[in-house]
Amino acid sequence: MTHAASAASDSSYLLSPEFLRKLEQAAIASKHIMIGRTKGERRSARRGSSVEFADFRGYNPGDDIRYIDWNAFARLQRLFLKLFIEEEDLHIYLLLDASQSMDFGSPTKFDWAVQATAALAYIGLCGGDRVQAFAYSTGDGDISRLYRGRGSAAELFHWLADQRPGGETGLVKAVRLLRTVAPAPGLTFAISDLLSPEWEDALAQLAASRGEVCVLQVFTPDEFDPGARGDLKLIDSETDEEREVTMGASVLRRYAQERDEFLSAVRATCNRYGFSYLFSLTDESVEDMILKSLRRLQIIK
Amino acid sequence: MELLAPLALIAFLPLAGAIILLYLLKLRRRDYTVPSVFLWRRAVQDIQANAPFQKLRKNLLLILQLIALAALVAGVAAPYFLARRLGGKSTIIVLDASASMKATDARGSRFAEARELAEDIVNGMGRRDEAALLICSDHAKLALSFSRDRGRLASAIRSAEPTDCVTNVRDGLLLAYSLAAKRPEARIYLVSDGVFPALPAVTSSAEVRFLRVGTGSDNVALLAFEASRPPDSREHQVFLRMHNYAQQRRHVILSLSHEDDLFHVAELDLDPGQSRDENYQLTLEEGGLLKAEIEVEDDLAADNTCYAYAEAAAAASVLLVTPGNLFLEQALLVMPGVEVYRTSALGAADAEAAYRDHDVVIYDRVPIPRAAESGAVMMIGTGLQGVVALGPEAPSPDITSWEDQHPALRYANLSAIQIARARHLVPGPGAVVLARAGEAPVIVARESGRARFIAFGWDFLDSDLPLRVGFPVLLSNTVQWLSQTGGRTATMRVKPGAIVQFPAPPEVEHADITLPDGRVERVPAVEGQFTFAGSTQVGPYSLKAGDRKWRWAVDLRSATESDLTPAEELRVGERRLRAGVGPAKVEQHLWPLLAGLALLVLMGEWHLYHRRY
Repeated sequence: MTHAASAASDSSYLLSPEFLRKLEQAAIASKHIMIGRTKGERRSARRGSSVEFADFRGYNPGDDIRYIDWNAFARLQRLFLKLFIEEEDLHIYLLLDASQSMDFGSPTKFDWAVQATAALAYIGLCGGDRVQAFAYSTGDGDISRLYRGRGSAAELFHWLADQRPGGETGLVKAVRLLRTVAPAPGLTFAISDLLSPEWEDALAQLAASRGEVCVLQVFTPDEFDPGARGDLKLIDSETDEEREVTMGASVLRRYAQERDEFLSAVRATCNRYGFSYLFSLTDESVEDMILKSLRRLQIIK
Repeated sequence: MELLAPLALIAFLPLAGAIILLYLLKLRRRDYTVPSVFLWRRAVQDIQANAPFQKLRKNLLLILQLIALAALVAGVAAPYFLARRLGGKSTIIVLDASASMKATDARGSRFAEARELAEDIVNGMGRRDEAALLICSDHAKLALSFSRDRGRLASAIRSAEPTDCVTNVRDGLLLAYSLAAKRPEARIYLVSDGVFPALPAVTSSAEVRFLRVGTGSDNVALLAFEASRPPDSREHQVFLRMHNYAQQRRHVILSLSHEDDLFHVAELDLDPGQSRDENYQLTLEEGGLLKAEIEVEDDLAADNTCYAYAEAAAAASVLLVTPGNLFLEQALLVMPGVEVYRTSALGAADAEAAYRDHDVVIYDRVPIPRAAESGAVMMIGTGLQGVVALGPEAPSPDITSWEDQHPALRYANLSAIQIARARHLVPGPGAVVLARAGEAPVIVARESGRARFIAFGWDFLDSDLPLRVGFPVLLSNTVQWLSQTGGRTATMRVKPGAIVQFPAPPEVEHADITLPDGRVERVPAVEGQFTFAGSTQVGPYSLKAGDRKWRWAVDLRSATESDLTPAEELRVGERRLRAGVGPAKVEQHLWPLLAGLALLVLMGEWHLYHRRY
C-alpha cells in the first residue's frame, strides 16, 4: 500500500481519492527562495551540493578543494570555487481560522477551510515539504506538529478533522505564535473570513514574519449577498453583539458597499505586503479553488 | 366650509393615539444570527452617523402618517363648501329690465347689480352647462337662446339695458317655462327686485330661484297727472298725485310747464307713505303738452316726470249725413262744445274733404262713399265693406253684453233698449266688438293710428234708444271719444313700451323719431304706417315725416314700479319663493382631494421608509 493510498483511505471524508490523485500531480510554487531545514526538492538560498550551478567565488583557505574550478584556474591562474544551488525542503504553515464565525453556511466556511487546508497540506507533503497547521481562535488554538512526507498526511488529516470552530477570531495571536514557533521562514497560507476588526493588524504581523504569505479569504454566498429581509436583530455568533437592522434595499445597498470596500481594502493590503490573495465563496468547490484559482495565481503549479 | 359627518373627526384621536403608541412600543425584531456583525456594524454605523437626522426622519414618518390619517379622517367627515356652480344644469336667466330696476339703491343701479349676478351665474358654468338669457320689461325677449359659450352669454348680459317700462314678469316666466320644458332639471333664475304682482301658477318641472336685488324704497313718485276741460268751460282742470314711498319725510320741488314754458313751481313736504293730490285751474290759449316734474333726491328718476295733453278750447265739428233724424240732430245740437253741420248725402270727393274739415262724420242710414284714413266716423245702421260690413238681419235683438269700460259706452245701460230689428255686424280687421246681442256683434269700434270709427248695427229710429235718458250720454261719450282721435291734433301720452302708429303721408318713405335723450331713429313706412315700438324711455318723443309732425310723451305712472320696496319673496301661484341674494350654491365636496392627499402622503412615507432602510 502506498502512502497516498493510505492517506486517501483514511481521509476519504476530507478529500476524495480523485482529488487527492490530482493533488499529487500539483506542487506549491514558492516565489521566494528560502532556507529550509533538511535537504528537499526546493532550491534553497544556501549554496550547496546540488548539481545545479549557481555562482563562482574566490577561494579562501579551508574551502573544499573539490569545488575548485580547475578550468578557470587554467585560464586565469586564479582559484575560483564553484557554488551549487542547495536544494532544501519548504516550510508550509497553514493558518486555519477556527472561530465561530467560520461555522456558517452550507457547507460551512470551516469545513471548506479544513478541506482547503488538507488539500494544500497534502500538496506540500507530497512535495516533500514540511507542513505545520495552526487552528486559531480566541483561545490559544491548536498547533499541529511538523509533518513531512506523504505518509504523515493521514495524521494531519486526523488532526484537522478533530478541529472544531468556536470562539472569536484570534488571527493576530495566531500569527505571533507562528512567528514564535516557526522553525524557519516559509510559505504561510492564512485561510479565514477575516471578519474581525483586527484583520489589518494580523496582516501586518504576517508581513513582519519572513516568508511568503497567501491569504485565502472565504465567505458564504449568504454573507456575500444577504437574503434576509425585515426587521431583524442581528446577533454576532462570536461576540453575541447585537445590531438592530431593518433589512431593506437601502440597508442592503449600504452593506454591499461596505463589503466591497472591505474586500478591496483586504486585497489592497495584501498587494501592499506582497501577499497572494484569493477571495472565494464556499459555493466554489475546494478542488476548483486549488486547481484553478490558485493555479491562476501561480501558487499551485 | 361645512362637514357632512363631523362626528367622524372624533375618530382621529384614537387612531392617532394608536399610531403614536405603535411608535412608542419597541419594534419586535426577529433574532438573526450572523457570522459576524463586523460589516453590519459599519453599515449600520453609517445610518447612525446621521443620528439627529435619523431621529427627525423617524419623526417625519410619524408626522407623515399622522398627516395621512388626518387627511383620511377629514375625508370621511366629508367636508364641503358651497360654490357658485350651475352643477351641470340648463339655466335660464330672466333679467328684469323694468323701470324699478333703474333704482340706484344698489351698486350702480339695481340693473347693474342684476347684471353682475347674471354674470356670476355665467361664470359658474361648467363645460357641460348651458344657459339662456331672457330680458323682461313690458314684454319678454329672448336675448340669447341656450348656449354653452360663456363669452357670448356675458356679452349678451352686458349689452342688456333697463327700460322705463312696467314689468311683465309673467310673460318672461312663461317664456322661461316653455324653454325649460325641453330641458330636464332646468333651473330658472329670476333676477329682479320683485316689484311686480303675484305670478300665476304654472305646472313645470323647472326649479325657479328668485335672486333679489335692491335694498331700499327711497322714492317719491308722480302717480297721476291729468288735464281735462269741462265742456262748458275754457279752463283746464289739472289733477296731480304724488306719493312718498320713502321711510323718511321728503321735500320736493314741483314744477309744471306747458310746452316747455314753466308756469308753476311749488315746494312740498311729503311724510313717509303720504300720498298727496294737487289740483290746478289753468287757462290755456292753445292745447299742448303739459309736463309735471318733481325735483327730489330719490332712487328712481323715471317716475319724477309726467305728461298730460291739454286740449285746446275749440268746439268739435260734427258733420251729420242723414236723410233726416230729428232725435239725433236735437241731441247733437244741445251737446255743449259741438258744432253740428248737416247734409243728406256725401260724394266720394266731398267725403275726403269732410274727414279733413270735421272732427266727426256721422253717417245715419246712408251709404258711406269711402273710408277715412284719418278722422272719426260714426255709422248708424250702415256699413262699409272692409271696415265693418252689415250681416244678416236679426229681429228684436236684445243686447246681452257690452264693454262698459270703453269710453264710448261709459255709463250706458244698453240692456233695456228695445230694438225692433237690427243687422248683425261683421267686424273688419282690427275692429273690436263693443256690444253683442247673443253672439252677434251689434256695436263695433276700431282705432288705428289717427282714424277711429264706431258702428251701430241698427237704425236708432227702429229702437227706443232716442227716447231713453241715456241717449244724450251715449251720444256725447261717442262723439267725445271719436273727436279725441286727434283728427286734427297730433299729441298724445302713451305708456312706456307701448307701440305707437302714425299714418304715413303719401310718398313719404321714412320718418325720423327724436327720442328723449336726443338720439334720432329712422323708421320706414310700412303699408302706409309708421310703427314705433321703442318708446321705452320716459320723456317726450317726436316723429317727423315730410312736413308732418307728431308728438307723444311717455311717463311711468305705475304705483307698482314706483314702490321700490324689494320683495322678500316671490309668489308663483300658491308657491312662495324666498329671495336669494346670489346664485344657488352647489356643494363642492373635498373628500376626493383629501383622499388623494392621503394617498400621496402615504406614498411619500413609503418612499422615505425605503430610502431609509
